[in-house]
Order: sequence, then structure tokens, then C-alpha cells
Amino acid sequence: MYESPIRRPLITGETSYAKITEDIAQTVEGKPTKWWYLGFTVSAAALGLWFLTVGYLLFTGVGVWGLNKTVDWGWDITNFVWWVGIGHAGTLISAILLLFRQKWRTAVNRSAEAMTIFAVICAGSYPLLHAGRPWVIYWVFPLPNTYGSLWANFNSPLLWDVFAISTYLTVSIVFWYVGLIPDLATIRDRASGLRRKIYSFFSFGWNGSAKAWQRFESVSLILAGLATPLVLSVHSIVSMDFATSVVPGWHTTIFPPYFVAGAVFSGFAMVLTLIIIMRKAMRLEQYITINHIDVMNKIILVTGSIVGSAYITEFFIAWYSAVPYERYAFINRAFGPYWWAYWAMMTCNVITPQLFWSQKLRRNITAVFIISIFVNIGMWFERFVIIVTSLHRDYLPSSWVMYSPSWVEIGMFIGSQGLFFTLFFLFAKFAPVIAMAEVKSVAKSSASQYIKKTAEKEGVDLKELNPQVVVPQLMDQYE
Amino acid sequence: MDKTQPKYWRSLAEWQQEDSFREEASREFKEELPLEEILGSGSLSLSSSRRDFLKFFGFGMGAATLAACTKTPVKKAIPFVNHPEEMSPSLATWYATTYYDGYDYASVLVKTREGRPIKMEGNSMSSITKGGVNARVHASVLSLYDTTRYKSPRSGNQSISWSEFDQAFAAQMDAAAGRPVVMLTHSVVSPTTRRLIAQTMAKYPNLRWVSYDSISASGMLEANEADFGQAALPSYRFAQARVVLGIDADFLGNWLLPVAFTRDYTQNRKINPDKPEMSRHIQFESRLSVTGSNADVRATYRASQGAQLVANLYNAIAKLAGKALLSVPALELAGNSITQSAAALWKAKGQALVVCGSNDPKVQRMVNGINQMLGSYGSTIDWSAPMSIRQGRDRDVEQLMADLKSGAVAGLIVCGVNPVYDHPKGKEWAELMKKATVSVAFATQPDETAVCARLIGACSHFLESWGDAEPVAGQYSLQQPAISRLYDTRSLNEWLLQLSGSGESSYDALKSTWNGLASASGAIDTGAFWRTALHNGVYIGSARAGSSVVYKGFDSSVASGIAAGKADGLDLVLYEKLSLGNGAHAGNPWLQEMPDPISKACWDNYLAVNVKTARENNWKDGDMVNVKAGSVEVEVPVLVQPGMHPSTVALAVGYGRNDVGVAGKGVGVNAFAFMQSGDHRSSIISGVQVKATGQHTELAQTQTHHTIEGRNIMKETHLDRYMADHADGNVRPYVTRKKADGSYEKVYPGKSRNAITLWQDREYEGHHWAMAVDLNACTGCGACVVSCQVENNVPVVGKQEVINRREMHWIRIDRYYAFVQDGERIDKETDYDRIGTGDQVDVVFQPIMCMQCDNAPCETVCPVLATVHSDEGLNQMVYNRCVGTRYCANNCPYKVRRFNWFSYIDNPKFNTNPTQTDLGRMVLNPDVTVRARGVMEKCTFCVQRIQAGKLDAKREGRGVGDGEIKTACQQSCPAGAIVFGDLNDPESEVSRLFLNERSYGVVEELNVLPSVNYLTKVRNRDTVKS
Repeated sequence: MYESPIRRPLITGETSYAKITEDIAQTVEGKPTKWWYLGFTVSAAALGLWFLTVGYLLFTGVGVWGLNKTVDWGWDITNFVWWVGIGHAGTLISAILLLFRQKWRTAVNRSAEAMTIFAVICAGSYPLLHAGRPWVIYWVFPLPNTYGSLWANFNSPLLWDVFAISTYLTVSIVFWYVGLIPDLATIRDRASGLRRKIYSFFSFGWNGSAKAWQRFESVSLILAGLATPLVLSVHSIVSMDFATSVVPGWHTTIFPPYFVAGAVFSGFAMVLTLIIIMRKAMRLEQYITINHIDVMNKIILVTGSIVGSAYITEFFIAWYSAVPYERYAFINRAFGPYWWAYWAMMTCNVITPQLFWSQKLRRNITAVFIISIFVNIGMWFERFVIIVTSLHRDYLPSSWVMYSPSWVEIGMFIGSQGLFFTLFFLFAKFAPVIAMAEVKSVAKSSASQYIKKTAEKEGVDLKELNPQVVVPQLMDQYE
Repeated sequence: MDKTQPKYWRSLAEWQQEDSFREEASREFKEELPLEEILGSGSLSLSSSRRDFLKFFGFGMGAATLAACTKTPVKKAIPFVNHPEEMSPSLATWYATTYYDGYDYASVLVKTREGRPIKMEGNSMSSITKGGVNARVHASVLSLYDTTRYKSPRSGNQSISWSEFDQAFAAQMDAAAGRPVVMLTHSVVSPTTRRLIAQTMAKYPNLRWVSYDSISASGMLEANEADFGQAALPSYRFAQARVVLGIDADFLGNWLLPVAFTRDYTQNRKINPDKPEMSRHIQFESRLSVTGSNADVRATYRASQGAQLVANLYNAIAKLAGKALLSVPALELAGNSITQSAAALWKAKGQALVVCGSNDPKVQRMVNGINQMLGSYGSTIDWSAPMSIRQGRDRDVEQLMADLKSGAVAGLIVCGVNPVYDHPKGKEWAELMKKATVSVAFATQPDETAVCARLIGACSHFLESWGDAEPVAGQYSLQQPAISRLYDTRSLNEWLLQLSGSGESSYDALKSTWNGLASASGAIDTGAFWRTALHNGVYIGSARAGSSVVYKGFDSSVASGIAAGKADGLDLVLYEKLSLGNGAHAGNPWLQEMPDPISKACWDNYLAVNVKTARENNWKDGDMVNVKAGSVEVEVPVLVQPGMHPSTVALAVGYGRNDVGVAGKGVGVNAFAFMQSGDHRSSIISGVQVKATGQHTELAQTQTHHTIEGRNIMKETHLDRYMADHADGNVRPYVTRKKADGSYEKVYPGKSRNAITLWQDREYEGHHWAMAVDLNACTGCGACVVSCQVENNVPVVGKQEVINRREMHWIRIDRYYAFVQDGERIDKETDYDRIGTGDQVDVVFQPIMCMQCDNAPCETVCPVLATVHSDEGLNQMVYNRCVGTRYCANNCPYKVRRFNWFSYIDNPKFNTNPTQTDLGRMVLNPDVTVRARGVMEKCTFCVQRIQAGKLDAKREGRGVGDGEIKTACQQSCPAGAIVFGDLNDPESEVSRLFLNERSYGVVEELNVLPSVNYLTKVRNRDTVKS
């Protein structure tokens, strides 16, 4: 396949199909590194905290949180929305970028999808556990029952949530797993004994025939088609929990697109956080290159700017509406008792991503890592600001309250991080974190060694290319 | 009848319907029976003679008499073992009875279910309380089920039998050896008890009787004795007063008969186009009381300058009356309030009333002089029906202490009072009690005094005893048991009867008093009189002749010695809260959790400090301060209270109980210790030192934001503007809509329901329940909060959960302040730096319950349909279906939904919840579900009462009448501020109130169509022209 030499390489250094298999399979086949053990232990400890806090919560009641008569949702739904948002990048990368034929997605899609699933699991735990009586939460499903005509309330955005999240989780899992099959088969083929049996079971008898590949491609495309609307719908629907209510600061029609942009924003930030660690820890710099990070930073810049404009638009509309409650809600966000949360959000979400206008920063791993953390924090504060600062001062000043989380809420949040990272570490150990088969599909065209060949054949001097495309200090990547 | 069926006949005569056939058919027997023939021979002749008649008559009478004499009437309340005829499971039985504890009086109806008293309601037949009841009376039903009650008499810590008690008592009396023994009671208003005490004193010549009131009216009694020759309190007629001036008299809160006064007062506050007038209420006070917060004009003064203030007011009126002036240092309050008030009072001469809460007889005599000049006697103050409450004289109590110390009095029998706790010299009382020769307490449950006694008589609860009351001369009220004795207890009357050795039962003793009333009334049938009294609970007899009461003339010497008050230092005012009052019921968790109407704080007492003073001293809410006056010092948290005089701080009594149930133990500090003891106990202490300790605590307040932020949710106007436009101040939201002919119309979502909607209109074919609240009548007293809590099994959550803002009350009273500075109202938090002295505040109260919105935002968001709309306009909560997402509560603009964060019914952390004990659970209303952990709850408009009312109407085959169904809050409101009814009935009061120009819904611009409307507040105040 021809690739123009002015494109940046997606695989750097010497490469071959065998080397790709070798490099990526070693993460599964080799002994885990010290760093893996350390990370896994810390995550598992946090997961232990999750079990502890959840157990206490289930035993005692939602009162162990810091919620009250006015602020009935706090860290629980903040974390729910935050996790759902994080879960957005995976499907976007695998589905929309697949449809758009973005080759760079091949290096990051697998881990992004895994991250999506784990994030949605973390997210889903919150609506379940925030309920006063979680043991009857199944009533939100429209199940046949013996109560006569009793049915779920289809007017309620919470019910839409149930459908949206469960569909999203199902499709994401299927998509992720289907993509895993050829790679699991590769590992199977290289393994022996019990390991071979297990991978053999999970690779569904993949035989690598042309027909199998053809079916694989079709299924991927179909699933991508199915998943694409979900990318937009999930967070649109989550946003409707707020947008359809009467609470000043929630009742905002801008929410669906603004939430989706925010979700992509936070999802990419989380993917970056993870892969920056992963490429280092698992020695995958050759496959997850600075170019990948650069591209993702551009998406963060775009979505961050959308989010920033949405913040400003909200303020304008609050003023323009002339509704005193609405106006107060927004003034209160910025200058009320929770001003610090608002300005934390503004700093992290609006100001820091603007630094990515600089190519230097986009390609500076340390800076990117720090900014990605900032974005994650900022997006958490965004949800906190929307939920808590809107609720705590609504219509009747008599009911205005302050809310602060209890140790149980904080413990559960740390615990849900534990759940997420435990799952991610297990995934990194037992499944190839990069889609081998897909990387191989772009190797011949986009690896630097092949691009150099094309350039030589066409007589193009890579160093003389427009410096805006190839900056001199990055030339080493072609060497 | 089916026409296709063939018809048969028995004869041609029937077919032709001949006359002969018809006649035969109409007779039972074909032929006449020959009765005369058969019976006529003997004495059974059908025709009877006069002798026969007398014989039959005699037999009949005799038989009937014998049949009626099979059993003697039951005179005792018996346990519900055999099913009594008039009681049916699930149907409530009501008894009229009386609540009087020496502090509060109310004529009440007790609701019993399956033999258990579960609810108190006002008796509307009472001429005094007129169906009003305050929070303490509502809560009193719980004290019946208090686990700490004495279950038998005690000697020290040992349970003994009554015979052992009687022996021990006799032994103690013998030990006194004829030296005087004093029986200490609160003011006794029961004619029967008074008679029995006299009877007992006849039996024991060394027995003396002293009345002790924790909050006394000694000053008034002495002033009236001096001025009128009557050591009594006249009746106050607030209903007759056009201008009322209160000087530190919290007559809507705790002063004398607040429930009765609230009824009368609010009559003159309700305003409508047919009666566009209202009284003017002026209040001078040094702290912000409930009464002051309802005043049209309010001014503050330094607490220690009370006498000077009253003297200056006297002078201002005397000037108008042309009388001699007193020579006192001049004093004027902000806005020339004294002069202006004097003018207003003088203008309303004959319809004016001045009341003063001072316990200083000199001050009260000046007040008497003022009222005399204003012609109040005979119009607003009535000597024909003096009150018999608060008869205790501080002087007698001081004398008793001296006598006990010197040994002149050998013993003390304390009945139902608690001087160890509520007398300033409580510690001395404890010592005296312990070492007295006769040391007996007669109490329902342990208190500080009873635990010091060597012998304790277990007293029955008032719901277990017979009794009566005459709180106002000639106006009687009967007390009957609503339940059999739970424990081995005696009522005071029973014990007195035992002591006097009369052998009479307390029922007989009571009946003989009432037979006396019956014969005095000229009733021939004393039985019928008794039954009527028992049914009604009240009886109005002839008033004591009061025409002989004449004013003896003003004595100007009362003003001698009034000096200009100190300008520096702080004065401390002690006051009683509407929840705990004098603290006798501090163990009642409902009262502890009832938010104070003004501060909205509960579960604690605190030092209320003026805003500016607090700012100057850098005291914040919850900062602990050390309050020191003389040798007494306590540490209490500060509560920054708008409306306080800058030099006055206030502390509530009634807290700091030690020997009391779990709810009251160690809550707050005992402020009675600060009270100035002496012949006139004074609750004003000057020269107190307040120092911050550096500690901080959290106050449990149900409302922490106190201004309205300029929002259009609390609407008000002034009387003059109301006269010009009845809708003044009531700006209602509307949308402009294009009509078919191209013109535009204004559509008001609140006025024309369903006018603007995206939804299919809801039809309410039967009833459409709604409520109207008159903000002009609501005094904010909070009786409804407790009433609702009792009716609807609302749990008590305790101090920490109130701090966590999770109180469960279904109805709350929002209270907002607006500072008034140079005629400008400051109602935004951001403008607080301009509040000046901080004592000039306007206060508004707004009761908020579930609005039962027709377009309820909570209903659409519940994923499981746990909250749904009824076809009668009610927003129903299905507890069983609720999964607890709390989305509904978030989406409620009124924030009236309450979530069960914990299992309050059995989580040991909430041990103050009365329903955690078997006994406490007796008070639960069986018609209302007790909610489980994890479900949402809220006001239901008392759906159980609606249902009961509908069933009653259905059983009687009629429609539900207007006003027939009353919600618990409405029923309890002494002010009658809440009206409930059917909006579909155009004649109903609530329908008419919804059409009133003052009517509006809170945030009705949301088009949620609330079913609760409010009537704007009208202040009788001159509009300041700006």
C-alpha cells in the first residue's frame, strides 16, 4: 500500500511482522515487570478499600455519605458521569476512527477499548450503589412482573440511562473482544500446555484463514457502524439527567453536545495518561510513538475548546434568559462558596489544553502527561460543579446547604480507581495491549523504515520537506 | 319482568281482578280469627280495665328496672381485654380532655386507636383555646410512652408498693412531729384538686401549700394587688384590640396563654376585601421573639432599660391624656417609636392594649397606669374573668427556702414541679430536699428534684387520670383518661384522697365538684349535665362577679429610682423557647428536634447575639463563649441573631437537664441558674461578661441561609397599598400568547391551570385537593411541624443528622430576614455589610409542605414510577416501589422530599427516635406506613385523613363537605392560617382563597402548578415614600 513520504511514521525503527508479534506478545508471555507488580498491588489495595466502603454502605445505608435533603447527589453521580466520560475515547477511537480510516488508531485502540469497558464498569457501580435500596434496583428494567400493569417510567431520563449505559457496555465488550480474537489466537499458537488450552478456548477456534479474516473485517465494520451512534448517544443521554430537570444550572439545552465533547476530551486525556505509562513500562515506544500522542493532543485541544466555549455560552444564556434563579446559579458557581471547584474546572479544562497549540508541548511526554492529569481533574470538577453547585442553592434560599463528602465517598472513589486499574493491569498482563494484527496491517505502509524506502524511491529528501511537517529535532525518528 | 314469560292465574277471579279477590288477597287470614271467643272467657280479655292497665304498667316498670340493675356502671378505665362496644379496630375513638402542666393549658381531644392515645388535637368547643394547641401539647402524647416513667412508687432507688409508700409517708410525717410540712405544687387550676388539697390540709394540720411557677407572674400579681386589690391576672382580649403594644411580652410564644392569644390576635390579622382592616401590632423588645417577628412595627431596647422604657411610654401617653408626667430620664427608640406608638395607642383609645413581660411589680404598675389611661379595662382587659394560671408568688418560695433552712419547715412534698432544676438556687433546693425530714416527690418520671427525694410517688400521666381545670374563672374543662394506667401509679387527686382518708375515688371526687357546677347552673338533670360535659370536655359557667374590681389610681412612686441605664457592657435576657418552654419536657425528642421558629436551631441552646456585636467581637455561629454573671458561668455556642439589640444577648432556659430521658440528657446548658432570685425573679441580668473560649461547635439548624436574595417567593405589601389595590405586591408571572384572531393575551400559569402545557391536560373529575396558607395569619409558631410529625410517624433523627441537614419534617416553616436600614430593605447576602446596627429586621414566615404540583417535576423523573399522580391531584409516594435514586428530591423546586438515609427505626445510632422502643412504638399512627431505609417520603396532604373523610361521607351517602377533612397541620394551627379543601368545589373556602387577589404560588413561573397557594403578607405599616 502506498503511503506518501510526507506522512509521519506510525511505527518507528526497524520493524517486521515477526518483530511486531515478538514485541507485543512478550507483554503477555514474559514475566511481569517490577512495575507491574507494584502497580497491581497498589490497585488491588485500593480495590480492597472499595469492597470495604461498599460493604459498609450496603450494610448501613446511603446516609454514610455526606448527602443531605437538598444535595441528593454528590460524589456518587459526579463519579458516575466522570467515569462514563472517560469511557468515551475507546469507542470513538475504535468506531469513528475506523470508519474514517485513521490508521494511527491501530496502536491505541485496544487499550482504549479496554479502558472504556473498565470505566463503564466503574461508572455503572455508582447508579447501582447510590440507590437507597440497591437490592431492588432491577426494578428499573422493564421486567414482566406480578404487579399487574406496573412498568418502568419511560419519561425518566434515568431509565434512558439504564438503556444507554447497558447498550454501550455490551457493544463495547463485543467490539473489544472481537478485535482480540486474532491476537489471542496468535498467543495460542505460540503457547503450549495449559496456557495454550486457555487461549485456545478464548480465541474461539480462530484459524487465520482468508475467510476468517474476511468475516472479521465485516464484523468489525458492522460493529463500528453500531457503535458510532452510541458514542454520541451515551453522554447525550447522561446529560439529559440534568437537562430535562427544573434545577437552575441543570436545565440547559446545550448539555448533550457539550457533554459529548467533554467526554471525548476526558476520555482522550485518560487514554494518554494510561499509554504514556504503558509504552514506557512495556517498552512499546516503537508502536505508540510521539506522533500518536501528538494526534491525540490535537483532539484534546479541539474538544477542550468546545467545552470552553460551552462554559461561556452557558453563562451568556443564563444572563440572556433573565431568569433570576438561572443567573444566580451561574454567578454562584463562579463566586459562591464552591468557587474553588469552578476555577479548578476552568483552569484545568479551558486554560491547560490551550497549551497544546504549541507543537513543542504536544510532543513533550512529561508536559502531555501532566496536562492529561489536569484534564482528568478538570473534568471531574466539571461534573462536581454541575451537580453540587447547582443543587446546593436552588430555588428557595431556606433549603440552601453546603455539601462535603464523607470518608466513605472518598474511599469509594479511590476504590473505584482501584477497581479500574486492577482490571487494567490484569488486562495488560493477559491480553495483548496493542492490536498486533491491526498494527501489522499498517506496518508495510506506515513504518518509518518503509516510508524512508518510498522517499528514496521517489528521490525525496525527508530533511528538506516543509519544516512545518517535519521539525528538525524529530528527524531522528526517521533514522 | 320478562314479557315473554307466560302468566298463570289461580282463578278467574284473580284474572279479572275482582274486588272480592283483592280484598281477600290483602288479608292475612281468610276469616276473622275468633280471638274474643277464645280469650274473652278469663282475665285475658282484649279489652282491659284501668286496674289491668295499672297491673301491666307496674309489671313493665318493675321488669325494666330489674333488667337495668344487672350491673353497676363501670367507673374505671379498663384495659382493652374485652372488646368494648363502641370501639372498632381501625376506627379512631376521640375523648375530650385537658392538658395542663403548670405551664401550658389547652383543652384537647385525644385520638385513640385500639385503645392507644396517638394524637392530640385542639378542642374547638373551648372558649379559651378555641381548638388551638401548641407544639408542647402535641408532643405530650409521647410522654405517656416515655420509658423513663416511674413504674411504681420508690423509696430511694427501690421499687415499693403503694401500701409501703403510704406507710413510709406516714412515718415521715410522724417524724415531722407536727412541725410544718410544705406541699409544693405549680399553680393549681383544678377546682377538684384545690378542694382535695384543702381537705388534706384539714387532715394534716401541719401541712401547708405553696405554689411555685418556674416562670412566674409575681410582678403582675403584686401590681394588680396594689392597683386593683386583686392578686390575679385579668383576661386579655386581643381580639378586641385595634392597636397592641407588647413590651418584651412574647404573647404569641410563651406568655401566659399563648395559644388563646394567638387565636384572638390572628383574628384581627386576617384581611380580605370584605374586611379590609387589621390591627396594628407594635413590639418593643430586646431580643427577637416570635411575637416581635410578627409585629408591624418593632423597635429594640437594651434589656436593662425596660423600666425606663415603660416610664417614658407612660409619659408619652400621659402627655396626650393631660396627666402628670413621671420624672424619669428620657429614652427614645429608633424611629421615635415611643412617641409614635403612644400616638397610635391614644388614637385607638378603648381599643388599645399594652402588655409587658416584666416580672417587676413597679413596671407592671406603670403598665396598668398606661392601660388605665387608654381605657383598656373593660374592653381589651377583662377583670370579669380572671385567669387562675401562674398564681405562684416568688416571695412565698423565697420564704419557704428560708424556713427550710432554718428548720421552721420540716419537710417538703414536691408535686409536679422541679425547683432543683428550674429555680435559680437549684443546688440549695437539692440540699434542702435531701435533708428535709419529710422528703417526698410526686412525679411521673425522674427529674432533678425527684431524684433528691427519699420517697417518690409515681404519678399517673394526665391521659390516665380524671381531673378538671378552671384556667379562667367560670370556664371549666374536664380531664378524662384515654387509657388505663400503664403502670402502678396514682394521680395527684387519688393520692390526696388517700391522704385525706375520704375513701372516695378520684372519679367520685371529680363528679361531686361537677355536680356542684351542675346545680349552680340550675341543671335539673345532673347526669345529663355530666355527660354533656364529658362529651364536650368544656363547660362555661357563670363568671365570677368582677364588677367590683376598680382601679385605685396611679401611684407615681413606682417610677422612683429609675435611672438612666448603663451604656456599656452586655445584658443577658433569659427566655423560653416555643419548643421546650420551661424545660419540663426536655426529654421529649419531638420537642428537641423542633426547630426554633426564629433561629431554626434545635437540640441546643445558644447565646443569641446581635449581628454587629458579633462582628465586632469576631464571634461566628458556633463559636463557644463563656458567659459569666456573678458566680454563675456557662459555656455555650454563639448564634448570630438578626434583630437582637446590640447590647443584649439572649439565652434560652429549658436546656441542660440531667435527670431526664435520653433525648434531653446533657442537651445545652441550664440557664435558670442565671435568673435573678428574690421576691421577683428576673430574667434580665445586666453586666454579663462574654468571652470567646476559642472552641467551636456546630449548631443544628434546619435553615442556614436567612435572606430571600430578592426572589419573588415571599410576597408582601403594606396596608395602605393593599387598600388601594388588593393585588398589590402580588406580581404573578405570565406568558403572552397569540390568539386565533391575531391579538395577544396574557396567560397566567398560576391562575388558569393547564393554560400552558405540552402535556395532555389532567382531568380531576372528583376532588382536586388544595391548600391555601395565609401568610398574614401564620405566626411561625411551629405547632404544625410537631403535629405533622405525630400524625405521620415522622422519625426523629437527632442532632448530628440535623447538622448534616437531614431532618425529616414533612412541613417546615421557612423564615427569612430582611434588614431595614434607613427605610431600605436589605435582603441579599451580598449587601450584608450595609446592615448598620442589625437590630432592625423584618421577618417573614412561610410554611412549606409538598405542593402536590399538578405538573409535578418529581413524577416525571422517577425511573420506577414510585411517585405518581392521583386523580384527585395528589402527588403520591409509593414507598414499596421506591428504589431510592433521590432524583425526585433533586428535581423538587421546593425541596420538600425527605429521604430515609438510615433505618431510623432500628439503627442504634438514632436512639432518640421514640419508635426504637416497644413502648415508644405505641404512639405510631397505624394509618401511616413507617418508612424503611432507602425510600423517599414527603407530605401527603394527610392522605389517610382524606381517605377517612371520604369513607365517612360515603357511608353516610353524601358528598364530602367543605372543611370536613382537615390535615394535621391545618388542624393544629392556632392561627387558622392553613385552609385545606377541594378546588373542584367552587364554593369551598380554598377555592375562594385561590381566587383572592393576594393568592399566589411559589415559583409558579415553572408552571409546575402547585396545589398550595399563599396569601401575601400585609403589614400594617405606613409606606415609606422614597
